[in-house]
Amino acid sequence: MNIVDDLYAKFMLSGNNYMNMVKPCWKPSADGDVRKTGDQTGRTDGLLWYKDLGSHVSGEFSMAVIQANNLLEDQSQVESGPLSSMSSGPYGTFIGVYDGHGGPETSRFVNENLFPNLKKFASEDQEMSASVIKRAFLATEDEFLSVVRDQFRICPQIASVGTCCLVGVISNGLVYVANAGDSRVVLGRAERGVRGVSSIQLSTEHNASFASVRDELRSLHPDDPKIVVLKHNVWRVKGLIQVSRSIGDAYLKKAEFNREPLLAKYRVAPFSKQILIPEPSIFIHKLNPKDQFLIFASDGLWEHLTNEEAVDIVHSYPRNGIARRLVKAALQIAAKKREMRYSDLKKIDRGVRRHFHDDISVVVMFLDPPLTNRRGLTLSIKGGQGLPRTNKSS
Amino acid sequence: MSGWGFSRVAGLKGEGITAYKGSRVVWEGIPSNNFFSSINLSLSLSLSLSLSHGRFVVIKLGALFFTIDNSSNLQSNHSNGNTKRLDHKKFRGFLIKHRVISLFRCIRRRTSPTGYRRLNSSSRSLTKLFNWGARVKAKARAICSVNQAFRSGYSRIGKDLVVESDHARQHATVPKGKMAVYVGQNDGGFERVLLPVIYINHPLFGQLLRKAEEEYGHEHPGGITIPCRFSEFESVKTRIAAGCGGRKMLPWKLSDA
Repeated sequence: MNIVDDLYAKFMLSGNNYMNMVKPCWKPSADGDVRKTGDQTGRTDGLLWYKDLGSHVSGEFSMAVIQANNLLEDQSQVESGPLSSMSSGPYGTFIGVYDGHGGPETSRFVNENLFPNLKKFASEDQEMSASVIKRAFLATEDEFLSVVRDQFRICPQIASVGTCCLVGVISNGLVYVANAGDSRVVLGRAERGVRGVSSIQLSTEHNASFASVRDELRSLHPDDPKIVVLKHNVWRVKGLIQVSRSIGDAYLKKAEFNREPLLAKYRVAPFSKQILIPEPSIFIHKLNPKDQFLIFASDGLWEHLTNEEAVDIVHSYPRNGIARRLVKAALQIAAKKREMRYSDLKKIDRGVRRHFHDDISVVVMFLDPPLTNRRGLTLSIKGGQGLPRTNKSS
Repeated sequence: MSGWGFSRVAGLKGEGITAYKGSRVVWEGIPSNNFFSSINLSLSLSLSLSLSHGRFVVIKLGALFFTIDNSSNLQSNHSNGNTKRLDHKKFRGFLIKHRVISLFRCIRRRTSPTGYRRLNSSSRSLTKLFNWGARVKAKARAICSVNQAFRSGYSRIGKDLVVESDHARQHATVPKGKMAVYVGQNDGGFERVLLPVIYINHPLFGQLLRKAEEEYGHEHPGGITIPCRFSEFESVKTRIAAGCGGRKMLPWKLSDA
C-alpha cells in the first residue's frame, strides 16, 4: 500500500506530465500542444492573447495580454537579436511594455517606432547605453508630437492620448531599464539561505500616488498650487492624469495643443513649462548568476498582485504559460474584489470590463546561463495581435 | 463486413519516467445475426514507471472495456461511412472517463483512507479527479521534499489554503452567474443587489456604469457601486429582463452565443 502511495508521490513530483498524460483519456480531441505554435506568433482566446513559451537570445520568455478597454490600449513587444543595424553592434533582447491612456494611438505608435529609433542610435554609437535609450525615447516623443501637429485640426482628441513606456534591454550582461510612467519591472533572484526567490523592483514609477512624485512635481512647478489634485481619492496631475511622465499627452506638453478644438475637460490654464515630461528614469543592473527572471508588466497587473506574489508565482510554476498564469491570478483577485466569480468575469464584454480591471500586459523573461545563449536567433513579437482592433459596431 | 480501427497510440516521455498512454483499440463489425453490432475495446491506461531513487518500481494499470451495442442505428451509420461514430460519446455503454475515474477512486480509497471530505465538495467527477491529483501532489511533496516545512502537511500561509478558503467564502455569498452591485446615493445607504452577470453587458446598464465611472472612477475599491435611486435601478433591471424576451436572456443561451 505504501509503495503505491510513494510511487504516486514521486510520479507527481517529477513534473506536470501527469495531467498531459491523463487528459486525453477523457477528452479524445484535446487541443493540440501549445508549444507547437510558431515562434513569432501568439494565440488568442476571447480577450486574452498569449505566447506561452518562446526563446530569446539569453533564455526563454512568456507573454500574455488581456484586453479590458473597448480598444486595447496596452501594447508590448519583444525583439531579440542584433540591437543595431550593423552585425558588429550590440546584441541582445529588447522588451517594451506600453500602457496607453485616452486611446490606443500613442501606444501603437511607440510600439512601431521606439525600437527602430533605438536601433538607429545604437548604430550611431556602436554600443548600447543609457544615453541611446534616452535619445530613442525623446525622438519617439518628437515624432509623435509632429503626428499630433498634423492631425490636431481634424482630430483634436489625438492631443489627449498618451502612453506609459517601460523598456528593458538585456545586452552584454547588463539590464537597462528605462521607465516613463507607472509600469513596473521586477527581478526574481534566488538568494542563498532564503527559500524561494526574492523580488527586486528595478523600475521607479511616476505615479502621483507616490509622495516623492508629488514633491518632484511641486518643486518643478513652484508657481502652480494645483499641479497635483486629489480627485476620487486618487492624486492626479492637474486633476487629469495619474502619471507624471509619458510619451504623447501633447495637451500637457505644449500649450499649442491646449486650446480649441480640444475638449474643454482637457484644457488647463496656460503653462510655459511642459507639465508631463517624456524623459525616462534609467536604471542599469548588472546581471548576476542568481538572477532568475524579470517580470515586465503594465500597472493593470500590479494593482492586483504585489511584487512578491508575482515572483512567487513565477518561481513555483512551470515556465510554459507562466505569463498567462500571472494574468489569471490578477483576474481572480479582480473578480473577488468586485464580488463575483472568475468564471463569470470572462463573460463580460470589452469596454465594460474596464470597470473590473485594466488592460494587462505581462512579459516574463527568463535569464538562463550564458551556455544556453542562442546567438544568431532573431525574434520579433508584438503582444495582442489578433485581439479586436476596431470599435464595436453596436 | 467488418473493419479495424486504431486510434490514439501515444507515448509520453518525462523526466525519469517513461509512460505509455494506453491505446484505444476500436473494432467494429456487424455480424449477420445483428446481435453484436459493435464492440468497443478500450485499454484505458497502462503506465510503467521506473524511478531512479535507488528503487525500481513498475506499476501497470490496465483495464479492458467492452461496449456492446445491438441497436440498429449504428449499423446504418456504418453504411453511411460516418466517421463520427468513432467518438465514444455516441456509443451506448459506459464512457471511458467514468471507468478511468472510478479506477482512480479505487486507488485513492486504498492508499489514502484518511482525509476529510468537504461539506460543499463538488459532485463533478472531473473536479474530484483534479482534487485527487492535488492531494497526491501535496503528499508527494511532503514525502520527497528535503524541506521540513513541507513535511508538516500544511502549505505555505498566504498561498493555496487562503485562496481556497476565500473561494469557499465567495461560494457562500455570490452564486454562480451573479455578481454583487451596490445601488444608492451618497446621502442614503447603499443596497447590495445580486445581479445576473450578463446584465452588465447590456447597453441600458452601460448608462448606469458611465454614471458610476464619473462618480467613482475605475479604481474604486470593493464592488461596482452605482450612484442612482434604487427605483431607477430596478426599472433598468426589469427593462433588461423584459427587453431581451425572457427566454433569450437565460445565461446558457447567451454564453453559447
